[in-house]
Amino acid sequence: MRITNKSMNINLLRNLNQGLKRYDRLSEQLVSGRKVHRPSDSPATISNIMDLNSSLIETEQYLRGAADAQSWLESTDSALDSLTNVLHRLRDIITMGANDTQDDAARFALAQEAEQLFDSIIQLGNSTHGSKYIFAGQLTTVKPFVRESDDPNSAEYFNVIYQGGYRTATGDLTKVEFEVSTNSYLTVNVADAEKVNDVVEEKLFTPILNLIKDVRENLINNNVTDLSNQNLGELEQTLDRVLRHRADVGARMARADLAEERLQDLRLNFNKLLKNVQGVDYAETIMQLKNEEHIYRTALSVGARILQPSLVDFLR
Amino acid sequence: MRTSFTGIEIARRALQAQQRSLDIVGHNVANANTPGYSRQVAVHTSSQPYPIPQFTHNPSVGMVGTGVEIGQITRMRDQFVEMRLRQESHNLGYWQTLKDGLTQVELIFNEPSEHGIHQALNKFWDSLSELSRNPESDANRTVVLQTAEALAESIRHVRSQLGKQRDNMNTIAEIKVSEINTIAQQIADLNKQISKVVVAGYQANDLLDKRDELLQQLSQITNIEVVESESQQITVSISGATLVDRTRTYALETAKNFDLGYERVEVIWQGSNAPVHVTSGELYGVLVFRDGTDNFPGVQGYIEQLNEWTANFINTVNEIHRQGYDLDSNPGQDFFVVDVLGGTPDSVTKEHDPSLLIRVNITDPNQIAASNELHNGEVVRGNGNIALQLASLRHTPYQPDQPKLSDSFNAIIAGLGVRAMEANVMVENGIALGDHLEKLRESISGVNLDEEMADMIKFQHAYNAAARIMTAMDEALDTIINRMGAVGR
Repeated sequence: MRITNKSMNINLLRNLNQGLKRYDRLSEQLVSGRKVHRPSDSPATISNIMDLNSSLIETEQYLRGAADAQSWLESTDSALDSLTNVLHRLRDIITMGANDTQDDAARFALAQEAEQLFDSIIQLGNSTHGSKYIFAGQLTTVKPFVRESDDPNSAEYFNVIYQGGYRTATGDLTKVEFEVSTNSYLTVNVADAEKVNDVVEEKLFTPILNLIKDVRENLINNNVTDLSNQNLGELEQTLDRVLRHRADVGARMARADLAEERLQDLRLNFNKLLKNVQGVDYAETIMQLKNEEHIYRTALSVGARILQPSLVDFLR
Repeated sequence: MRTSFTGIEIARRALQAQQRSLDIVGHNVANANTPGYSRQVAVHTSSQPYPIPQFTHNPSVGMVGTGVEIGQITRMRDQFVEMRLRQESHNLGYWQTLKDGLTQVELIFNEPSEHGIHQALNKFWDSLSELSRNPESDANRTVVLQTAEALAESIRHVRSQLGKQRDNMNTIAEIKVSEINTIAQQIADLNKQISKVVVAGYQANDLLDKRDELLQQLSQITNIEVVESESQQITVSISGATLVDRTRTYALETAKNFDLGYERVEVIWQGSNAPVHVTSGELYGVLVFRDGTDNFPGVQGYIEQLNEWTANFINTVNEIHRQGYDLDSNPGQDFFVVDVLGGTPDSVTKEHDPSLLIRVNITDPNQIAASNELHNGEVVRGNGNIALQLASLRHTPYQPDQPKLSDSFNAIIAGLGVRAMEANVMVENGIALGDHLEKLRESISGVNLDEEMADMIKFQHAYNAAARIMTAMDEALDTIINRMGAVGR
C-alpha cells in the first residue's frame, strides 16, 4: 500500500484521539468513582443499579420504620411499667385496708390515696408518644379515657368512658401497624377494646379503674371482707393481664430489634452490591490510566519522529 | 536530410515537458492537504517519429525520434473506492445522527443520578411511608405534597426537553434540505464546466475532484445514486428520483404537517409535492430520530413511552387514593390530574400527553386521604392504610400481572441504553470502515511528498540535461555559422 504524508497524519491523529478518549473515560471514572455514567455504557448494569438503588432507599425507609416502631413500643412499655407499679401500690392499699387493725381515719386516708391512683391510671391511659395517644388504637388524636363528669362531688366523677378505637365484627381500629420490611408489618401499640351489642368494652384500663373505684368505696364503707375476699383476687387478675401485655410488647420489641439488625445487614449488602456493580476498582483503574498515559506519550513521541523528516530535509 | 535545427527543437520539447512536469509536481505539493484532491501525473510520451529520408529505401534503419511531449495529465482516482466511500458515508451519517440524538435523550433522562425521575419517585414513596406511620402529622403531609410536586416537575421537565428535541429535528431537517439544494446546484454548475472542458478534448481533473468532493458531502446527508453520462457529466438521484440531471437541478423543499399530533417537517419535491424517499444519511437519521420507525422508537417513541408510564402511574395512585378519606372526612380526590380541553379526565390515557400536563391536584395537606376508615362519620386520623398501600407500590405491582412502576420505568431507560449503545457501536464501526476506505483512497489519490521530491529531482535533472543538449546544439551551429568557410580570411 502506498503511504502518503496525509494518511500518516490522519493515522497519527486518530490514534492520539482514541488514546485520549480512553484516557478521558478512565479519568471520568476515577473522578466520579463510578464505572457507568450513561445507560449506553452498559444497559444491563444500569437496570441493575437502578434496582439496587431503589432497594437501598427502601431498606433505609424500613430502618426508619423499625426505629419508629421501637420508640412507640418503648413508650408503651414504660407506660405499662408504671401501670404495674400503680397496681403494686394498690395491692398494698387493699392489704392494709383489709387489716382489722386499721381505724376509719386510716381507711379514709387509704381511700384518698386510691383516688390518686385512679387519677394516675387515667393519666397513663392517656399517655402520648409525640402528640399521639398510644392506648387509643387508630384514633390517635382522640383522648381515650375521659371522666363522665369533672365535678369531684358528682357520682359520675369515677365513671370513665373509653373513646379510642375498638374491634367490631367487620373492622378493627385497635391496631397501629408499621411496615418494617417488604409486606411485613409490626403492630406497635397496645389496645384491647371490642364492641359487643353496641357496647364498647375496654379490657386493659377499664377493669383497673373499676377495681380502684370499688376498692375506694369498700374502704370508705369499711367493707373489709370484700376487700380481702374479692378485690385482692380481682387485682391479681388485672395484674396478670397487664403483665401479659408487657410480655407481648417485649416480644414485639425483640422483633423490631431483629428486624433492625436484619435491615442493617441488608443495607450493608445492598451497598456492597451497588459498589461492586457501579463502583470503580481504584487500583485497577489507576493502573489502566497509567497504561493509557504511557501509550499516549509513546504515540506522541512516535508522531514527533515520523512526521518530521521527509526528503525535503535532505535536499540541498 | 536532417535539418540543422532538429536538435534544438528536440531540446526545446524536452525542456518544456520537464518544466510542465515540474509544474505538476508543484501543483501536487501545493494541494497535498486539499480535501478531495487527487494526485496528478504527467504522462510523457515520445512525439511522432518520422522515417529517415534515404537515397534507397531501407526500412530496417527505422525511424527518427522527435523528442518528448506530455500525452496526458492523469488524475489518480479509483471510482470503485469512491462509490464505496459514498455508501459508507451516508450510512455513517445516519448512525451519527441517531447517536448524537440518543446521547441527548440519555442526558435528558439523566439516569442514574440523584436528579432523575427514578430518584424523585423513590422520594415520593419514602414520603408516603413516613406518612403511613404518622398520618396525623401536618409536617409529613406537607412533605408528601412537596415530593409529589417534585416528581411531577421532573416528569414535566423530561417531557418538555424531549419535545424541544423533537422540534429541533424539524429545524435540522430544513437546514439539511437547503444544504442538499446548494450542493445540487454546485454539481450542476460543475457539470456544465466539465462538459465544456471535455468537449474541447481536455482533462477536467481539478473540476472532477471538486465534484467528487461535493458528491461525498451530499452522500453524507442523503442516499444518492450517481450515473455518468456524456462528456463526463453526471446525473444524481435520490431513490430513483432525479436531483441533478447534467446541468439541471430539481430542488427539494419542506412542508409542515400535524397529522401525527405534533409538528412534522416533511421533505418533498418542489413543484410536484411528491414526498422524497430518503432511506439513509443524516437527513434520514433526523426524520427517523424524530418519528421513530417500526423497530426504533425515536424521540416521539420515548415521549409515548413516558406518557404511557405516567398515565399508568397517575391512574394507579388516583385509584388507591380515591378509596381513602382526607382529614375533613371527605373521600379522597384525584391525587394527580391532567388538564386537557374540557376538564380533567377520570382515567388518564397516554393520548392525553400526561407527562407534559401532569399536575398535583391536591393543594391542601389535609386533603391527602391517608386513612381508609371512618368512625362515626369522622375520619380515623391515626389510620395510614392508604398511604401505606400507596407506598407499597414501590415493591408490589398494583395489578398482579403487571410489572411494578419502578420496573416499567427502568425498562424505558434500559431500552434507551440498548439503542444508544447500538448506535455507538454502529458509529464506531462506520468510522473504522470509513477510515479504511479513506486510507485506500489516500493510497491511490494522496500526495506523498517524498515521491514528489524524488520526481522533482528527476525532472530537474532531465531539464538540466536537456539544457546541456541545447548548448551542444548551439555550439555545433556556432561552428557551422561562424567558423566554417573562413579559410584564408
